[in-house]
Amino acid sequence: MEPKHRTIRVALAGNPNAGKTSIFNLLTGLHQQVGNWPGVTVERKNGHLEHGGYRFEVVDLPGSYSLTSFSLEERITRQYLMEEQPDVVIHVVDAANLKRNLDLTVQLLEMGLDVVVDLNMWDEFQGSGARLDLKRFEELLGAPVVTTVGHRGRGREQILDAGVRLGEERNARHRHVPITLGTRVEHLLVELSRAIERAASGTLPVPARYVAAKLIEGDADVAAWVHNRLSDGKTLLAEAEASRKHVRSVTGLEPARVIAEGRYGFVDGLLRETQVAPPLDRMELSRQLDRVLTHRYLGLPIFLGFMWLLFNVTFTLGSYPMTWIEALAGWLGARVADALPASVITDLIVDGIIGGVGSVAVFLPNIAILFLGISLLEDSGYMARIAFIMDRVMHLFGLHGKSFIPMLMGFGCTVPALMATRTLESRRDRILTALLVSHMSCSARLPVYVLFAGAFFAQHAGNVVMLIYLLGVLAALLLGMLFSRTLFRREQASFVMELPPYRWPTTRGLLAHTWDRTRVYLRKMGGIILIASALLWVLSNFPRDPRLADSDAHDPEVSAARIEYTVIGRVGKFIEPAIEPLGFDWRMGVSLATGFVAKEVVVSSMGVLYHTGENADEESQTLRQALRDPRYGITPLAAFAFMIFVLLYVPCVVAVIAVRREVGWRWMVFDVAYQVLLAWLAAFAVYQGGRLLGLG
Amino acid sequence: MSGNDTQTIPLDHVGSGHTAVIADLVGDPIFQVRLRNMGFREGETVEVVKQAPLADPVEYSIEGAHISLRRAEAHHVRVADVRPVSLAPCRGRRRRLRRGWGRRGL
Repeated sequence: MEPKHRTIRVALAGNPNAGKTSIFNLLTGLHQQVGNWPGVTVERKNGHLEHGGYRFEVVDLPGSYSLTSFSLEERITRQYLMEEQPDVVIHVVDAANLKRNLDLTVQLLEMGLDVVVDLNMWDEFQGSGARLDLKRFEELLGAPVVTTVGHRGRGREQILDAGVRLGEERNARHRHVPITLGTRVEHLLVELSRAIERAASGTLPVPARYVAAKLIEGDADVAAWVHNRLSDGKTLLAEAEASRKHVRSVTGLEPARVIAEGRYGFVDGLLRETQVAPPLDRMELSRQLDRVLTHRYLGLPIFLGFMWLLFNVTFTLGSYPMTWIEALAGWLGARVADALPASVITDLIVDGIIGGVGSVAVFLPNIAILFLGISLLEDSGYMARIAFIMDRVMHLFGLHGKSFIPMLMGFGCTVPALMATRTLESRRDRILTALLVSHMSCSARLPVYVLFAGAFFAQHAGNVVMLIYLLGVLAALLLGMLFSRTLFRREQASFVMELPPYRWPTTRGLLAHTWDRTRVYLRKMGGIILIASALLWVLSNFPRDPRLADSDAHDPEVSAARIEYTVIGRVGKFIEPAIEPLGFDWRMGVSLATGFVAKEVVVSSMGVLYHTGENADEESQTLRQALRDPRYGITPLAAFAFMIFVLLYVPCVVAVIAVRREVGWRWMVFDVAYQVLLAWLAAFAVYQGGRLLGLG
Repeated sequence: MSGNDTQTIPLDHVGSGHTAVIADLVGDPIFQVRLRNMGFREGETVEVVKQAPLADPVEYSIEGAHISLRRAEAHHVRVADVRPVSLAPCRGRRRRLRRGWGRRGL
């Protein structure tokens, strides 16, 4: 019995739609760290705060409806609660959806945890005309209850005060009102928990009754735990099996269902006693809005209109600050170049570091605007409607309806698109979407298409570019089908999704969500990208050909010879045998290698390598003529194969880093490997197939 | 229109604008847990609100919440006592009653 815990460890639990994030932000403000749960790609958020002389350490558990071992999120939640034993669990409950949410409360209490029940969105509950006898509710539940409105910033003090009280009283009393699960199983539970208590002799981290209930439910994780940790494990499991049989024979139902019904029964009884007036249908307004927004014929065009708006605002409006950032990076580079003596180090700082980070920083406005838009869609409730409208289409890809947004964003830039995969709830959908997003041809690849289509298919340039885009979508479709039937065969995702009521987003919530996501990007720029861009600069500038040291750097012949001599140039030459069957020469190989930095670089590298000067762009007629020059031997067929290759191989180093950030190392390696392989195979098939058909 | 009370039919066969009482959940037990968590429990009344513009998924109203399920998923929910919303106990009147519940799932 400790008198005072100076530090109170708090875990936030709750259903996915209960407003857990807004409560977490409300509690911790800016003192947050975002990471992943060990070994998995589910986001983990930690935060801390001071209140009333206590330090609160808050961990945000993944959103879950229950504490079964079925979904990854639920397993993480359960494991954390069992092993870390937080001092206080704050269960964020959607007050307007009490019946469904309280099921989890009951399970938390069964685990013997100290729970503060936070009835969130209390304004909506009251607005719906519902009334609850809070005092009686608290009594019957046996846990302190507070009311909050997270997204409007109301209720912070109440939660924390309740947390302090509970943290102080911890161990000082045995509050836990046993929750009876109905006469059909009650006597079995009591017997089994006695046996478990005897076997464990006080070493259980959770109440014996909880273990007994889980065993009767047939929970494999808990059964394994009992088997390994308890001396009498085998006997206990046999006893549990006998109980399960008994339940089955008496009720004719699965024991898990009988136990679940016991919990629902408790919740029903609780609400019958305490809910003075039931809520009116809070969906009434949403229903009216949905008459239009998800209308049979209007729903789709309206949705496409919103998407057009989001896409345009992101990439058109974002292009203004983009040019400012570019100008700023250029100005900064020039100042540094002036201030420092001309040397290799200065070049590295100016071209490598400032240039490299600058080229990534330009995406920042896009990303901030995109995330503001996505937060707006999510907070208003329209995101769920998008999933509802588009699921039929996305399901063809093996994806969830919500994957539509990242896939659409992929046409703009793969990096924000990858970051948008966070809006997906299941791990499977996140990984699969991340793997497919890069085939939505990003805007940086367009210059390459424009250059080649203009040079080799001048009459049909527009159609050829369009065809490339469609091939990208087709590739994503086929790969989605393939991956969801192979890699993710055992993780069949369900669609089951709540359509929350429409809400006015609050400025506070929007800014918090946008900042939350944007800062991850910001932090990344300071770290990995800084290193990567410096490294790539070195590779594309060293070693230097000593014979060219004094030559005129502006002579196209000299710049071409220089790049040939560098590591990247050598890589290009080295891979020539590998790309020869695709109809590419070593210059194209070098351009592809530099394309790992960013796809825009492919065109400027070609400008250098085909002797037309460094400032070539995709509209440059001299570069187009140079490419067509018979001495390089590029046929239209090879040009088409090249475009296919550019479409399918890795978008850029930033995207690769983003994949690692979102789904982890192993998937990143897989992603790069399969994309390069696929690009090669597809280009090979196009080039050699075309030659067989006599096209080249 | 709403006969056949003793027999259950899959929820995806019930057309928009109808309510039905959940009789049983079938199939994958893991998925059953998910459905129960979302409110699809035996004895509850579920209303078929509408189908998505591309006919799948379908929006349901249960316990004051709106949940969407793919047709293949709704197939795991067996219901009885199908009737038009206007005839269901304690709900507001709705106009669209045209679609019969014989609509075929995918």
